[in-house]
Amino acid sequence: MAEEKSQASSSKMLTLKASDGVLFEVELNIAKEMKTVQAYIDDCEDIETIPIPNVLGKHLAIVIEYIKKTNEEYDAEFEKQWNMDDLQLLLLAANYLNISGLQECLCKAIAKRIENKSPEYVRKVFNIENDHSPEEEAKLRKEYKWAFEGVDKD
Amino acid sequence: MSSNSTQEEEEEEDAGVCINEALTDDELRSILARVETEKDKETFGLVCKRWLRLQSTERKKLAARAGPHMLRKMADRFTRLVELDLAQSISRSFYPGVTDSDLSVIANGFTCLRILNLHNCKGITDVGMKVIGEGLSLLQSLDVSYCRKLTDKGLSAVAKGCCDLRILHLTGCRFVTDSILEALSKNCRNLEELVLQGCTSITDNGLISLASGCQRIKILDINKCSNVSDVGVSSICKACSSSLKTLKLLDCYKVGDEAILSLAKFCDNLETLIIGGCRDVSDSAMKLLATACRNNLKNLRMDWCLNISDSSLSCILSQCRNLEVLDIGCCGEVTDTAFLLISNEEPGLSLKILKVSNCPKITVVGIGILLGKCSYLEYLDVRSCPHITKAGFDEAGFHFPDCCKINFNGSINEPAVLL
Repeated sequence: MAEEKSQASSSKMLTLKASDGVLFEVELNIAKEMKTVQAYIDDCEDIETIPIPNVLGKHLAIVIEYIKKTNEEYDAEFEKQWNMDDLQLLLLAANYLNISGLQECLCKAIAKRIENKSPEYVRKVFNIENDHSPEEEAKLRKEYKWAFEGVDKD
Repeated sequence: MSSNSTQEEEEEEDAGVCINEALTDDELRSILARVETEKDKETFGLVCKRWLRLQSTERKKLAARAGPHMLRKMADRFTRLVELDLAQSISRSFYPGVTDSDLSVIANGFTCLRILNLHNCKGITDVGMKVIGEGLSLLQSLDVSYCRKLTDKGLSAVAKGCCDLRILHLTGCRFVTDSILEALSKNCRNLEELVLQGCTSITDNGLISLASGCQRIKILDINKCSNVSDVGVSSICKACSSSLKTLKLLDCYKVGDEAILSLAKFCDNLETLIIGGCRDVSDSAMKLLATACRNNLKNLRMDWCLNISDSSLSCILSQCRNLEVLDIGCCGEVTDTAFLLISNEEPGLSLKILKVSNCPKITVVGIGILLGKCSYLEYLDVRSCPHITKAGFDEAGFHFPDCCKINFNGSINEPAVLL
């Protein structure tokens, strides 16, 4: 997974170490898109290997690829490749690494997948247990109906 | 939150990640922020208790029909609400309507509230206003139009407590007097929009008071405040010279040239002016106004200004090239010459809506000339003009643009502008 060293001596390379030990060599300007990494570099200037304890190699690879290729077209296709589990883990990674473009892209993607679906579907997809009691749930549904009926959308 | 190392191990064994363990509140909020429709937000809240809590505290605006029980529940749930719309109307009302004790629940529960709409909530009284003043210090916009029981006492309490008030609608609150204007002047320096339509007890003294403290007013509606005259209006013009954009003086028959001259002198940002029924206004004053406000004036209603004649009308149409809406109904002295005298320079007129109802001296010829100079006309009101008929247009061969509607005898719905 390690990339070739770049030829230009002026472009500094950095090594990122994923949580499962996989190493990635990236150019400084790519690494700087991850604000967390940037902060690391700012703190210790001559660091060469930066540990990324919260992100698996599999996802770090995807994140790095995203940073390199991101544009409107790429983003539109990007989210379609991943299942819900990966999307969530990628979102966690994007948040930890503080990459705003990727965060935005993933939040939108997840929101889109629950668009126009029932609560039951959403629970299934996200593996959530329903902790509303049946009475509570019935009350909520009723509340929505009566209170917001015939009212303009926000 | 479970540590990520356990999650990684689990991920290899289990079929799926559990989102409630994987993501923090922040991430879930980011997702919720991108859920667009009302229905989907509701679905979000139904999924589980944690998501319900996130959805409730995210909600910024609520429009509802709700009695005290429901309001209390909403206040418990939607703690960060910024806008609450409880306006009543024919299609949206319930018995017994919003009461003072509801306002108590609101004032204590929705502490971040900035916008409160109680339009037509006829049951509320000064008692309710007092609790609003005490509880909602961040309030910026309050609409209590047609809440007929309110008096200066309650509304002054609002002014004193809600110092950041920007918008206040008191249409139809007939017990209101100059004293509320004094309270606003002392306490609400950021006031931008004030509607006092039908508050007939308002006098010049009130306006002078208002002008001393509230110098950022953009919109002032004193339609049908028939006791006000030039002195009061002029004081507002002077104090709010750079901010005033809309001034409504419908049927303020004591208002005359002096007020118009003040507008011309001080308020060149004026966009909307309603002086229908101000029958003393003369040509000379209107010409000065047209020149001073030529860049920004968009909407002008001067029906029943009986002294207006061709000289000021042609001046208005020539100078105010951005004028979109004009109402000169019942200005009986106006003739076709007014349109003839419009200067021919580019650009053409921007006029979209023209009302010349009951102007017996305007004929098909005059309208024809106007048509030649303005290509954007959408609505033309020529009711009660004996010399303007459909047959007349056809005979003269005048061609109206397809989008233009002409009202000959009241059978068309008027566009709701200039009220």
